[in-house]
Amino acid sequence: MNIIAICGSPRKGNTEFVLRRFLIKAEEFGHKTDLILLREKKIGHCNSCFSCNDEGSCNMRDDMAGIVERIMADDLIVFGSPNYFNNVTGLMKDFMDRLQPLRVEDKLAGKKAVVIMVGEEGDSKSSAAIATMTSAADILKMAKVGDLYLVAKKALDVENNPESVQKIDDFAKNILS
Amino acid sequence: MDVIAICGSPRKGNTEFILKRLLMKAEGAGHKTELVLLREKKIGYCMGCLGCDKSGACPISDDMDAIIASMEKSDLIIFASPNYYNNVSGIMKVFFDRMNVLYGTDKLSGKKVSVIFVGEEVKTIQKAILSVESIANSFGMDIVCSLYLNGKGPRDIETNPESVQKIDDFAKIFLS
Repeated sequence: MNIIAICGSPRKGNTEFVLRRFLIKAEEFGHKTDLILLREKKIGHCNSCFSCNDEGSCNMRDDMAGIVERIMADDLIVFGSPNYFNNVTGLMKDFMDRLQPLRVEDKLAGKKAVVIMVGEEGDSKSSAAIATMTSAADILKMAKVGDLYLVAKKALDVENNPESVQKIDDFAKNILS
Repeated sequence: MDVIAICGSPRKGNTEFILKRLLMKAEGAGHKTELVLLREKKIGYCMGCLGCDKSGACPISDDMDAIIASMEKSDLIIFASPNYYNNVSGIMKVFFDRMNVLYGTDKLSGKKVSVIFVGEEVKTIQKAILSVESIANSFGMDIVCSLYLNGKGPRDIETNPESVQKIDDFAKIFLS
């Protein structure tokens, strides 16, 4: 499979670590991978002009065009975000809003989705943030194949916790092997 | 009361129309009002630096400073957003993330709050409303009432007398 991970964290910390580890495992299982760090991209807020509804394309000119082209070639998209207020980050929400041109034509329909969140407290079953991201994947008609919630706050909390690292490895194995 | 309305729509459309109508009613009832259009503000992404946890202040200096000062002075805060993916707009989420500087303080606790959404999907809108009410709860705010109106094109609500009536009825509830 072609796998792409979208990192919605504004800092280099747990979410990026989890995604990189997940992608290393994916490579080991023979998949092709790529990582997009939203914090390094220039992505404007969707301005709700409906040109995607009317013309099928977005009239904003920024890094989103390249990302959209890239994810069209992927089989599995990993959405990774820290949990801010029981929800994805603003950075991730801006990205999701800008997926609207793909939603209009069901261009992500059938692609696999994985949701990964990192937060101070919670688990994947109770997390409203996971539910929110899952709901977005549903709206895009993607097939969610798994979600992972890891508890962490400071930037190296996951990396320094062998139990968390094991959870990433097990999760990757379950989904990708 | 001092009433402040935060508009999370990226365009001049339904959300802004509702807020302007509500604030007009509030002014008519003798309240002081302020409308904040997030699309006209410069608000940077929260960097997750946790600087606010340590020092109680945000190291980013932009339009968020003045909005927070206004919210602290207000008695009633209205959070309004169009529904994008059963959730607030990106611009609104960026704003909420930056409210983290108030998290763990009592600066908003006890203030009245009202949540307003505009969208096409009536079935699933409750998720979006709940997500904002959950944020308000985490600040110890007192949820007065929430409103959802159906709209897609920018003038859908303005041109629908039934929707306008709903706004006026809603104004009576949250201003009483």
